[in-house]
Amino acid sequence: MKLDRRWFLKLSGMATLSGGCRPAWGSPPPAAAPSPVLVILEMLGGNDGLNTVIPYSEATYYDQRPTVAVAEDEVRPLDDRLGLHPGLVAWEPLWSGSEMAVVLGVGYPDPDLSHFRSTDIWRGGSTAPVIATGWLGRYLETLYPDYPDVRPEAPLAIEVKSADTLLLRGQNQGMGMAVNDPEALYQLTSGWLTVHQTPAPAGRAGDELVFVRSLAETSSVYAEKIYSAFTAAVNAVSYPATPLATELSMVARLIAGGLATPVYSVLLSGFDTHVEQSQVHPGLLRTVAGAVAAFLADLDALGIADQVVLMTMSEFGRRVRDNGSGTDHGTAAPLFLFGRNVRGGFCGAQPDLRDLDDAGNMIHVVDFRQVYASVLQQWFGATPALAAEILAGDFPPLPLFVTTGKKNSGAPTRMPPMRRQPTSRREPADGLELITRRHRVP
Amino acid sequence: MDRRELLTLAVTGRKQAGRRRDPAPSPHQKISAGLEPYRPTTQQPWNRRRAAHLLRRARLGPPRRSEIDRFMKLGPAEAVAELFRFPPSPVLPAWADEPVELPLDFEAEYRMRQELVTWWLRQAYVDGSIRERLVFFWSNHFVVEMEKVFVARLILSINRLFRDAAAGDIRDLTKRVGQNPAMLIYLDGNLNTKYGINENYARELLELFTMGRSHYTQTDVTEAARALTGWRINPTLLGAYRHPLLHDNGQKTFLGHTGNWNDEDIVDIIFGQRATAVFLAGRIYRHFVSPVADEDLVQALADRLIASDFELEPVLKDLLGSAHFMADELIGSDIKSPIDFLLGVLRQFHATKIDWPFMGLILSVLGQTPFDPPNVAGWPGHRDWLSTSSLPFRQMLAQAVIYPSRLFIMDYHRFLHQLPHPEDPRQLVRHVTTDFLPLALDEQTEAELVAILLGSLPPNQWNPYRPEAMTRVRLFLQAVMQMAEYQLH
Repeated sequence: MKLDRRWFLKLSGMATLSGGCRPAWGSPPPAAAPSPVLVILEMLGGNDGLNTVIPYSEATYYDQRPTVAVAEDEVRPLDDRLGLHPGLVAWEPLWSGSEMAVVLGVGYPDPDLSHFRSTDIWRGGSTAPVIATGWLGRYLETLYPDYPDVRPEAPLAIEVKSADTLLLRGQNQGMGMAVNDPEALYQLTSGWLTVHQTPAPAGRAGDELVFVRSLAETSSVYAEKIYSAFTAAVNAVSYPATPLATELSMVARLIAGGLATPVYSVLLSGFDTHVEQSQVHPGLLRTVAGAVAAFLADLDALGIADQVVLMTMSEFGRRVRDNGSGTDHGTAAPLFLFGRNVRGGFCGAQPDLRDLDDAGNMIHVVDFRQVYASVLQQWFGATPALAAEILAGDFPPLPLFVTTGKKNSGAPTRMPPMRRQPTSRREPADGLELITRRHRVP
Repeated sequence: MDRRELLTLAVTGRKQAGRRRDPAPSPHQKISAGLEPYRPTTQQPWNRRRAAHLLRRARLGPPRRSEIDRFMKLGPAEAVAELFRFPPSPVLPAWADEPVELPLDFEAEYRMRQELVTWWLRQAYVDGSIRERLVFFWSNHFVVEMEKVFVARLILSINRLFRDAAAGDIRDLTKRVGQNPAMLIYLDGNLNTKYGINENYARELLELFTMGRSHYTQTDVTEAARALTGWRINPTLLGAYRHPLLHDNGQKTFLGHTGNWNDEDIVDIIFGQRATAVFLAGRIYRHFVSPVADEDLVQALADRLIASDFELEPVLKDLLGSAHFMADELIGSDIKSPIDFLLGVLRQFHATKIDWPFMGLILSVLGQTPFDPPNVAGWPGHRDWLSTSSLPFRQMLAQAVIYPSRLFIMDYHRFLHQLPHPEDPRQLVRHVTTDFLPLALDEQTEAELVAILLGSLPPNQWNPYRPEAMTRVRLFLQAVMQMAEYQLH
C-alpha cells in the first residue's frame, strides 16, 4: 500500500466531509474563461524517444537495439518510416484527427546527461551555467510583475503535485501553486488562528519568514476559489484508473469550472529505464497515452477543447545502443503537442542513427526553445521580442499551431486582479477528529 | 554567491534594479565570521537562543526546554563536544540479520517496513547526540529508495552503515556504500558486468555522491562503470562480492589515471580530487548551516576535510563551534523538515503514548516518507519542504495535536512544570515563544498571544492549574504553531 496523501485523507475521514463543508456559492460559476491554457506533462527520468516514435524502417534501429527494439509488426505506423510504440495506440485517433503534433529530434547543444541538470535546462528554458528561474515563471512574472502584492483572480499556475518546481519560479518567487487535492486544500485552510505579524527582520531568517507567510497567504486566498471551480464542473468522460489520469481529470474540472489559471503541470516519473526496459516502458507509455486521450475527449465533451493545449516534455532521450537490459541516458527525442488548435503532423526531423556523438547519442535537430518560442508566440500571443527576452535568445518558432479557429491576437490575456472579499466564515476543521476517526478502524 | 545574486543572474539577464515593491530588499550581507571558534561576547552572548539553534541544527527535531537549559549551562565548546558523545548503538529489530528467502513473503515484508520506520523514528527521538542527524544526512546523500529496494532488511543494512560511519571516514563510507546490496540494487550496480556496462551507479557516484557535475567527462563515467563491473549480491541478499568472471580486468583511464582499476581504486582516485572535498563541504554546509552558499567558507571547510583525510568529526566540530555558525543572521534561516517539525512537537509538548506508525504516515503526508525520498538526489529540502500543498497540512496538524489523540497525549502537567512562571500569563507566553521560535516577537504579537491565552479572563484571574485553563493553553499553542516563525529552523 502506498501511503500517499490521498490515502491519508481517506483514512482521516476528510474525503467524506465534502457534503457538510461545501461552501455556499453566492452565484453560479462564471462561464469558462476564453483565455488560452497550457498543460505541461513531464515524463521524468528521460523517456526513450527512439522507442516512442520508432524508425521501424531503419535496419540500424534493430541492429543497435537487440534487447529493447519493438518488432516491426507491432509498431503502429504514422507514415512509412516512423510509427508509434504499441502502448500509444490510444493516440491514433488524435493523430488522424490532426490534434497531435510530433516534434522530432528535440534537444539542445552540448547535451548534459545528468537527470537533474537536464531537467533544470528543460524547466528553466535555458542552458546558462546557473539556472534559477523557469521559462513559464519568467513569462508569468512579465505579465504580472506585481505578484504577489497584487494577486490575480485565479492562481497563475497550478502544479498538480505536492511541491513547486523550477518551471514556475520567477526571479522573486514561485509564480505557481502546488495543488494535488482541491478539497483537501479547502479543508486544511480553515480555522487558522492568526495573530499580528512581527515585521520580518532584515537578513536570511527574515527572508524565510516572508517566504512562509506568502505561501500561507497564497494557500488560504486561493483555496476557496479553486475548490469552487472544482465542484462547479464534473468530468464528462471516464478516465483510466491511474494517478496521472486522475490529475488530468482534475485539471479538466478546474478549467471547465471557470478557473482562469493559464498554466497547469502534471508529471509522471519512472522513465529512467536502465534495466528491464521491455517490461517497464510499455506500461508507462500506456499510462501517458490513456490519460492524455481521456483528457482530450473530456475537453471536447466539456466544450473547452479550443482553449487548451497539452505539451509533453522529458529531460532527454536514451542511448541508441541498448545495454543488454535497458538503455542509458541519451539526448534528442520527440515531444508531443495535443489540442484542437495544434497543427497536427510531424515537425522537425528524425535524427540520423548513423551520425552519433562521441557517447553514441543522437544529434538534435530542433532546439527545445524553438518549441517554447512557438508556444509563447502562437499560443499565448507573446511578441517575438518578449519570447526572445524570456528565452534569452532568438529561437525561430515552428508552425505548431493552426492559424484558424479562436486565436490570440497580439497582446497576451491578463487576468484582472482579485477582488478581496471577506473570506467566507468556515468552521475550523476538527483536526483531531479528522485524523483519528478512521484511524481507529482496522 | 548568495540567493539574491543567483536571482539577479537569472537567465533573462534583467537586472533587479528598478523592480518594484519590497522597501529594502537588501542583498544578503556576507557573514564576516569564519571557522574561528565562537567566543561569547556582549553582542553575541551564549544564550538560550544560541543553545537552541545549535540543538535544532545538530540533532533531529528541536529540543525541549530542559535540553536548552542543559546546553546553556555547558557553554558553547562543551555543548558541541557533548553532541559527539554517542549513546550505545541501538538494539536492532529482531529480523535485522535474518537471511532473505525468496520468494518474498510480502505480508511479512510490509510489517518489517513499518517496524523499520517506527524503530528509526524512536531512535531519532531519544538520541541526544548528533548521530541520528548524521544518519539522516548520509541517507539523503547516498540515496536509496524503499520503493525500489523494497526489502526492509536491505534498507536497514545501509542505515547501519550510515550509523557506523556517522562522523567517521567519508572515503571508507563511500567504498562500503558502493558494495552494499541496497545500493547495488538501487542503482543497478549488480547488473553492471563486463558483458553489459550499466552506467547508472558510476554516474551518480560522480555527480551526486562525490564530485558534482562538470568535473568529469562522459568518458570518465564509462571508464568508472567498467571498473565497477562484477559486483553481485549473495543469495541471502545480505552481502555482496566481486565476481571475477564478470569484472572487467582491462586497463581503464579515469580522470587521467590509467590502470586495471576496481571500485575501491575509483573511490581513491575520486578522493584525490579537490573537487570532491569542495563538493562534500558544500553539502555539509548546506545541511547544517544554510542553503545560501558561502564560497569562501566552503573552501575553508574543504581544506579541513583534506587535512583530516576525510574524517568528518573534527571538521563538523569546527563548523558547529565556529563564529560563523553562531552568527545572528543564521539563526532561523532555514525551513524545518517534516521530521524536525514532528519530533519537535513531540518534545515540546511532552508527548506520551506516541503512535509511531501513525507518525510515519503523517510524515508521508508532509512530504517525507521515511526511507523513500523522491529520487536519487534525495529530498531537496529547505524551501522545497513547503508548498501551498504541504504548509496547510502542517497548519492543520497544529489544530490536531493540541488535543489528546491516537497521535500522542500531551503531558500537560509536565509541560507546565518545566516553565518558571506559568501562573504569569505574560511570562508563560514569553518563555514558550522563545523556546519554540527562533525569532523574537514584537510587543503587539506577544500581547495578542496573551489575549488568546486569557480569552475573556482578566489577567489577575489566570490560573494554569484550573481545568479550563488547559483549553486556553492549547489554543495559545495552536496559534504559536500556526505562526510562520514556527516553520523556521
